[in-house]
Amino acid sequence: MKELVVISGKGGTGKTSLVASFAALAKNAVLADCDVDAADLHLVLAPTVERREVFTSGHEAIIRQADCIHCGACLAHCRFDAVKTDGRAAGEAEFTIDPVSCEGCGVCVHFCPVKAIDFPERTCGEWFVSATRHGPMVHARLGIAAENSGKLVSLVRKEARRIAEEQGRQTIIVDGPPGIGCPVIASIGGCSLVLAVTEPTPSGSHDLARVMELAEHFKVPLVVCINKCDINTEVSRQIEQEVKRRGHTVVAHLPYDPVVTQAQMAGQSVVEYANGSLAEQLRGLWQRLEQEMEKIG
Amino acid sequence: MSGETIAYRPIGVIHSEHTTPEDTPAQPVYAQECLGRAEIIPEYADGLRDLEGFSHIYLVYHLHRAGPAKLVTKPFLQDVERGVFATRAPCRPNAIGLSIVELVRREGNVLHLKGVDVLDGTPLLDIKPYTAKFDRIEGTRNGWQDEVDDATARKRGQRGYRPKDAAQNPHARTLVRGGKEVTLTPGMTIAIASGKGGTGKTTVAVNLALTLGGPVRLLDCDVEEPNCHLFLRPKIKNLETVGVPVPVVDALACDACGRCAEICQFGAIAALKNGPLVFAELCHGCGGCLSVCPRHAIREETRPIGAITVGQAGDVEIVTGQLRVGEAKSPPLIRAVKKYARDDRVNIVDCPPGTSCPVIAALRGADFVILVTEPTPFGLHDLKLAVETVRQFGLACGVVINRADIGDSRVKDYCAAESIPVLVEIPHRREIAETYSRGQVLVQVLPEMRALFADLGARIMNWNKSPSRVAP
Amino acid sequence: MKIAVTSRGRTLESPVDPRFGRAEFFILVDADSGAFDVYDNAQNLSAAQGAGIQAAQTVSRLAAEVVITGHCGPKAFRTLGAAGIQVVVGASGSVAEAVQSFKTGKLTPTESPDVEGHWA
Repeated sequence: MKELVVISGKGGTGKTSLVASFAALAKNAVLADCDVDAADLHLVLAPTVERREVFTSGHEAIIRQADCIHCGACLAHCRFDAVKTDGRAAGEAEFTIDPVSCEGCGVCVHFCPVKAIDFPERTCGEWFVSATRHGPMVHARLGIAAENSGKLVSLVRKEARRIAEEQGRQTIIVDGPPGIGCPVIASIGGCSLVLAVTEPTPSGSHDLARVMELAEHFKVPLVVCINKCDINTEVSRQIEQEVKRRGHTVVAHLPYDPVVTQAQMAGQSVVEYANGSLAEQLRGLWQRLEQEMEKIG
Repeated sequence: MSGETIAYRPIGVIHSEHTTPEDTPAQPVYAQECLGRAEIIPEYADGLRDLEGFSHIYLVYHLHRAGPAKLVTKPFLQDVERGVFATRAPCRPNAIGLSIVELVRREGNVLHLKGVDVLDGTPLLDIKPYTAKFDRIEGTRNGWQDEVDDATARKRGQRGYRPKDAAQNPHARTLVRGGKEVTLTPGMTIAIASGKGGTGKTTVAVNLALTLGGPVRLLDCDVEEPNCHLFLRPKIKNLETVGVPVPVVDALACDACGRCAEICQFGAIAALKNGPLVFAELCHGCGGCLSVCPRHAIREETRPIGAITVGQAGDVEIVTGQLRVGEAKSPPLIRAVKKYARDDRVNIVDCPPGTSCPVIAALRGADFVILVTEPTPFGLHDLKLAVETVRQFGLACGVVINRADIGDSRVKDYCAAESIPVLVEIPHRREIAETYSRGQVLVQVLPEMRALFADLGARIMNWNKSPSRVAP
Repeated sequence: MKIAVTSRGRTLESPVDPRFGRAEFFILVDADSGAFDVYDNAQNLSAAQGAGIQAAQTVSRLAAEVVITGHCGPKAFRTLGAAGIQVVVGASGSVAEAVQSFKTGKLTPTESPDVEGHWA
């Protein structure tokens, strides 16, 4: 089984639009949207949710006011400024915990002399298994201000693998999150191939360098696609040089094409929506990616 | 005796909001609201044990930016020359400074302080506890200082420093935009956010910063992919390493009771037969293990997670947080970048994309949030998430539509239905994309963009003044 | 000598679970007598992070001297090392076959972790 993860560092490079086209081109794939923070793939693939699960991670502290003796031990021990007081003196003040600031460390729970702090599991979001016109899709929605998107990403990938194994599907296509932090690390670890999508702008090339560093750090193979390459051919050339210098390959140069937005407005992938030269290039890119994954074995 | 040199090694460094000597209060009493911290070099950290029992401490430090010694000098409080040893002026033969400050709390080797009248970056030589038992003396003679009345002393003692009160702030500026007078409120924080990445957040942050005119601080809190500096190309003035505290176990003192592993919610400590094993990268720095260790066998060291650079590009001071590659948790670094917000100028925060914890860390405390989006299905979907986030925190917001003519009217319809102001629309033009791709700043190249961003600035400032300032 | 093998099921015929931290079960085999016990690792399957470290503590508590699994990440490897437990990676087939391969020297302890963390 092969797992392709598409990431970009910088957002807005066209990652999700590419993934939508790959989804349409791949035979027998499972799709996974690991951009759990701001998932968009479902807007194109229009999934029908078949299974829905609550995602919990860690715990949160909640003070039972009835049992609180207002001693302030929780305030003294909290390092995350999560314990709020109404400003009255110790012995009188009412203490509450700001759920957003609470790190879930449980130190206040441990040190509360009258055990007046509950520590329930924290609900952080939901994840779904859905059917789409291009095969099964696993996606998720992280709650606002929720933590540990890395864990949710791992869960989405795991579920996608399970489905692939169960249904004998050979490929998993993952729409990865932006950035280089926790969720990205969780989405590329142990995958077959990373496709980094960039654009010829200072931000695009700067972020690509950080993404390459990350893939090297975690020892996963990486290829690069330069999207909207004609916006600045000079920067495109510099990016390609830098990619080569680091021992990676640019597998596609895609031009800027308004058809990408038009397809999105129509709720379709580019290869479904149009038959022009961009669609043709996307087909070529997908073939190339399949070969790359085959090579890696 | 004469001619002998005594060399001291600093034990740490004092950090404060004071970066220019002229704006630094002369005494702690004139700096009561000034927060700061002393970072002690880890090798001396053991010496801090029990210090948190004292509410106030003496800081003994080296006045590293003092001028040459003058034996007769005018003190800050009075225009009369006095012998330097009868003053606390910095121009002393041995440039030693002394302050009594409040110790708010200790985090490992970092002391959080209040009433800090010390310049940022001052080398710290020694710490002693202040105690009323030894140090409070009633009925003292106060020399020439008794000649200065309290009001004058306060005014002169504060020097250029002004406490947070926008109305009296001498840095408040009045701008005239489109015939309307707009007062920029120094200390105001404008956050630039978007649910989706790549919508033009950085473009808006950079161009707005350059358009507001006058000193602006731009805080790049997109620490995973900080990009503002690529366009502003600032001259770097200062560099700070940001770390989080992690436990270090003293194997000799440890009896392998395992309580540290038991309290750790993050699985960062493994309890083994022969003692605990710490995984620093999993630690959230809660300090629980330190507190529960019955043998006091755990102390904390700082593990670096990223760096902050402060640079200057024209009137824009840019503070960039950069997360180390491979580092999973950005909020501590984002919070550190936000500490650079200044009360005497407009602060612009470039947030990371999304709606999860890093975004919240960046958004909190903002006076106004600009949400940047595109008129596409992806843009609208992510805008809705961003609006939900901003509203959960009771923050007011407005929308900037980028590449305004590529899609349809769904974003505008949504904004109208939700009573969210559309502040400006940036057209989709090839020359804008090309300007951006060359690393150039729109307002410096395209005149119509200057007008557009001036309009944006004016709208936000007007909003800030309007009486209907209620969070939606 | 006690050997802990990661397993997808509760018997010696169950396939080896290639994951260490998030293995479904640990089967603790007494290499001399062939007797075995089964330990459910379900709690760890959903651990937020550090599953490998937790699992390493579990097998340390079980007094295993050797761990046989498919892959082992750096954190689990470090923890097992600190607990004095040898790590054998690259095992496949059934639990019984893995134990046999170790006994006959076909599988030998590794000197380093064979995958990066976070491989889920």
